[in-house]
Amino acid sequence: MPIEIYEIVAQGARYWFLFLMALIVWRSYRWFVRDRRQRKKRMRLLPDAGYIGEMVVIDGGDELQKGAALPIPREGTLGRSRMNDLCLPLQHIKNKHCWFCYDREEGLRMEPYHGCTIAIDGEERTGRRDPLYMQHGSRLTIGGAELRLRMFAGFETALRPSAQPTNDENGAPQAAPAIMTQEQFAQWQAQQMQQQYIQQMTYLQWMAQQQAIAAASTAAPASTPSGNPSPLPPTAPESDGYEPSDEPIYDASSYAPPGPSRQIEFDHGMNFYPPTDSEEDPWPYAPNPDAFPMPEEEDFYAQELDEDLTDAAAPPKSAYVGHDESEAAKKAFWDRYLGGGEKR
Amino acid sequence: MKQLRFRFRALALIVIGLLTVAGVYGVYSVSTYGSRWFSNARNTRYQSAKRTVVQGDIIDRNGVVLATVDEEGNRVYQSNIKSRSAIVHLIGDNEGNVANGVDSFQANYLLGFETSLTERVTALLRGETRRGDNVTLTADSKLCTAIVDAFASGEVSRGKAGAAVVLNYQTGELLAMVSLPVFDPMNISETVTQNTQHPFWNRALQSTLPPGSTFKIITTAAALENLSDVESLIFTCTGATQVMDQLIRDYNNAQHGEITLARAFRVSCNNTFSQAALLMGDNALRKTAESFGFNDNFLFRDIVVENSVYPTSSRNDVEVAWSGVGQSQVAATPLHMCMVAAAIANDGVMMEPRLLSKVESPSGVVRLKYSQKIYRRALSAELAQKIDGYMKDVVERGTGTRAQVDGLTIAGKTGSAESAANGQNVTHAWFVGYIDDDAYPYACCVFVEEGSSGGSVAAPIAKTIFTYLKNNTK
Amino acid sequence: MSKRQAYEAYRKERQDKRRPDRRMCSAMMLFFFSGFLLISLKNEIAWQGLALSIVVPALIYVATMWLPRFFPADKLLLSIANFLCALGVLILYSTDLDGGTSRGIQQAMYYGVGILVMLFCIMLVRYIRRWSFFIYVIMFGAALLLALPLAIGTEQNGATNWINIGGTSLQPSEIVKLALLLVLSYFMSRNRLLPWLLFALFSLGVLMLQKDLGTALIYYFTALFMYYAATGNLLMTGFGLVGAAGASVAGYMMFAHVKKRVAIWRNPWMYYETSGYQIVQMLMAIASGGLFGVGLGLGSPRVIPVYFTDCIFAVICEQFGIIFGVLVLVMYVIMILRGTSIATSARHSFHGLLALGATSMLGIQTFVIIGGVLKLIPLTGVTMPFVSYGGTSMVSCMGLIGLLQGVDSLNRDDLSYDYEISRSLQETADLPDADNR
Repeated sequence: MPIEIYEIVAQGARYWFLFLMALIVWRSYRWFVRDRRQRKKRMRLLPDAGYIGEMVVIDGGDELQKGAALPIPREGTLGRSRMNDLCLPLQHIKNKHCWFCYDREEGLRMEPYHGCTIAIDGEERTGRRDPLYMQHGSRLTIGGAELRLRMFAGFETALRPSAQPTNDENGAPQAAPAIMTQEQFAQWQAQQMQQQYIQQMTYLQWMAQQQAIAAASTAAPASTPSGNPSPLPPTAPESDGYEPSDEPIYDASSYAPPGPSRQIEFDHGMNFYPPTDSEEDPWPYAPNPDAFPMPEEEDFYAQELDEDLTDAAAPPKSAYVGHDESEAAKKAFWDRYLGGGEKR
Repeated sequence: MKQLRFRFRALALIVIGLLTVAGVYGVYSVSTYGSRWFSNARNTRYQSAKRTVVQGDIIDRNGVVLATVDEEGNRVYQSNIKSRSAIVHLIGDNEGNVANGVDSFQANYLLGFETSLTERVTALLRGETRRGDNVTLTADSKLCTAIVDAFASGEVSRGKAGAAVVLNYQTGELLAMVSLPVFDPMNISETVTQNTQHPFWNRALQSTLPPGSTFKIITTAAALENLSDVESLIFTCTGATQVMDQLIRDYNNAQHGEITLARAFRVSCNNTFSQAALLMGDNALRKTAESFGFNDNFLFRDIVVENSVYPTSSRNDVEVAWSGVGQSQVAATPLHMCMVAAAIANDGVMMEPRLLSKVESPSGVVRLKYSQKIYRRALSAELAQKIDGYMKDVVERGTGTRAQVDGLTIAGKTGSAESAANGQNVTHAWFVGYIDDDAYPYACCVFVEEGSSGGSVAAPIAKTIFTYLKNNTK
Repeated sequence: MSKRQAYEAYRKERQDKRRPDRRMCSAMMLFFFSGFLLISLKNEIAWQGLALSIVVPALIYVATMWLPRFFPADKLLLSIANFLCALGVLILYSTDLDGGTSRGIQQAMYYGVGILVMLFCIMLVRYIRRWSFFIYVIMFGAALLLALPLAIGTEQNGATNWINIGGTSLQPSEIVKLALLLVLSYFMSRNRLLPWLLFALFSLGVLMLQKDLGTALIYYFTALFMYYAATGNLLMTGFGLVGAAGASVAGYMMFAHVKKRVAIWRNPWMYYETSGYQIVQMLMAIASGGLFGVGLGLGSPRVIPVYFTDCIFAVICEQFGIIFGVLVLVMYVIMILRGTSIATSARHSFHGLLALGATSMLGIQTFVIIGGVLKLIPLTGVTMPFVSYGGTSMVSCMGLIGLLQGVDSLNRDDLSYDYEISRSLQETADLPDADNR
């Protein structure tokens, strides 16, 4: 192309390029804003996102309300000022008193700052020497207040021996003591199963008898049943709550204690508490960091949280975990396995 | 982590702020200084553009073609050597020796950078070679020639360097801008480049030198503003005023005795004005000077002029006293002093000096027509009237009588400024003045380097200028 | 909603043409297609240019739409980076045509290497959990690498910070940038002052010895920003700023070339023949571009010395205009915004600091070079991220956004985890109240 024509074309084209560039910038800005909006929406729908558990106030003195639950993020600071993740308006603690971080293997690592004292389950620490770890149910004594850690389901860690729920709390009705060795637990579980089985059998027998009576009474005048156990049906078998409904009724003879449905690593003699997962699937965790997850379908994030999903086929909000429901779930969980805490 | 997040956002805001500053500064500097950067004569784009585009013509206000392109594509100027030498600093030469002449500063018009796309397309379709736009100046080349002649004919001013600027004080049109020594742009030889008077230097726009007694216009304005009843105040001129450890004397050690401000202006008494400056204080004088445009960054559209200086640091009494008479680190260009006189003439309104009268493409599209712009309001109309009276007095019976022209009311101020050159004290001759007539609204400034007396050396040249204007303009 | 339904809805949504990544990708592809087409029609038809006008948009499509499917990448960052790299290739190619160089194609190769480095950095951040041992390896390795040019280095443009390995020249300070970020964020997140301070001082010292002042500036300010983010200690940060000012004044007094740089920054016209030539030519180029530019392929970019690395922004402004230049700045700003949002969503302070450090490093480098080109601050020897020609520059910038994307992928993982947990909690929440199941 001769240079004059090229000059004209190029000078006409500069407006075209400028227009395209403005378009590109505009679109990328809109993309950014849209992503941010979606992220905010996600945060709203998952109110507990980012948190691993709560600190429940057992004894707060004057400043803290008893029973208040303060959410704990994965990493943060604890102190008096409002800029902390865990803000405890206690008099005797510093503005930034302690730093904590969740370690998947060891629990919630607490590192007090220079000159600050905390006590976890009785063990005291001051300053940044060996950090202390808190697990689910550990107690934190700080500045005259006492808090207890309650982790969300899924953040289980092994309980340490000292983290015992003391029995002077109003004991939960029929919770088994949370500390037991593996053999003890297997025994206990077997006992529970057997009890439940017996109860269920009794109930069914009673039902059959009632039906027979009803059938007989229509056919023949009612005659007092004899030899029956109590006229009242026994209490409905206490279900574990976590067992699926269509599980076949146990045959007592064919009972065999189920093995742990999930690999739990623990040293011999260490304590643990029972897993929460049902017998069907293992509890879905985040992808194992040591393996490279192969892409399932076509996208790397097979379960990518595309928000048009929530928009278009938006189930009613109650299908998501509302605050009350999550509270109830956590309460049930704790009551089950820790022998209770404060009744709320 | 909450704190961390807060700090992350703060830091990101700082970084984005920095980038925003860079972006805004980029747009600002390109729009303000872009034409100046581009119009640099060393710009290689000119060379490449000159290969493809025929440079446009430069025409003066009367239609005289000052520069054009011949058949071989060379830049040619007027055939008369005297004429083309006189305007060489106005137009510039072809090699970029003169800074910011019209030929290089308006190259974006002359080399066709401003032609629109449609024009280019039509030109291409018609198969014409590309031509740049023709630029018509407000300048009068004959006047420039007359000024050079006047310099040559004066006994003292012959052979000396100097400058002269002529402005229309009502519209701001620049009628003449001459700097001496001149040279022939079509014949630049060794003697020109080795000339110790530096002929390439444009003294009208680039020399900042002490204005001397012409600065008393500003001192008077400051006194009238700041000292109450200064017109009735009686100063004492004993021939030498002691300030700290120095003595301030008048020209030729004159003694004026008891003297009013008006008379002091007329006879240009240094003692009076230095006392007045001390009375007012440096700050008041500086403020008035700045309202006249000192210490301002001149960013005129058509010309590039050096900034005038009034010192801003705190100074002792001697320096302040000498500043009152336009010495002691006060410096201005001849163009600026002409603007000062023009402001007085125009009731205190200073117009921006403009050079482009019309820019027209070869196909007749007018890109630019003359438009005037007020640069600033230097002082109030009534003060301007008062000073106007004083300045008329100077020409009528004061130091500037040699600038009188029959049939015209001339107002002016002479100046003899002392300066140091090569370790010696030299005295420069200044004259600023104007014609007080609506038919001839012209102000001029004449500056003769080492001319000693303003009244006797610079004023006659001004008279020649005014005479020419009277005879040749309507 | 069952998983199948969810997947169907997801799939349909993926095919929706109005998705933001598709839109931006199509605009970019159109831009570069028309750009390369135009430039290849200058003079004689350049078949390489026509080929590029197909290949470059195709590469952009692959890199923007397909790459994030296989590797955990953030699409927005990747698109912007791709755009800037392709813009660099376009400009370099347009200057290649008349100059007989082949920088455009080489830049495309460097881009490929850059993508690999980016993926490496993403994996690095994602899959290494125990940094405590690794970080010391990085620290000492980086220190060694940085000091290497002092031993076997060659000098270029007045700074001895290049080494020649088997024909290719390498600038270790660009690679050590990434190591610096990792080291700083690790030790700062654990509140251990001494290791990172020593490392930072050591690298600053080595850079001063190599006279690479621009990179030293970037290192210093990034470390300062990260320090403030980690500790919030305004007093010490203030001291750091004062120290920077003091050091620059001291440097001005001591080094002649610093004096020269400042002199030509203030008035380059005086030194036109010698050192100010570069700045004068840059300013003339930018001014001749005006608001809209002179047009692609026009103008005289090669007059500017080093037009292909440091001063490429001046070439962009000349050919496309200052408005276009400001829009390119806006792209960088969007990258920084995105990086900040990644940093604030991070769950651990290590990742947050890492993301913040990468973002601020990018932003500071961009400011330093654009400020230098526009004569806002003295010109230093840093390159423009993504756009400048140069293998190590490209590699380090892609590494930076690789680190950012690694942190982003961890954030998304955590979010998925929380989502899973809350869904399971929902299931368990229903069960205790159910009657008979």
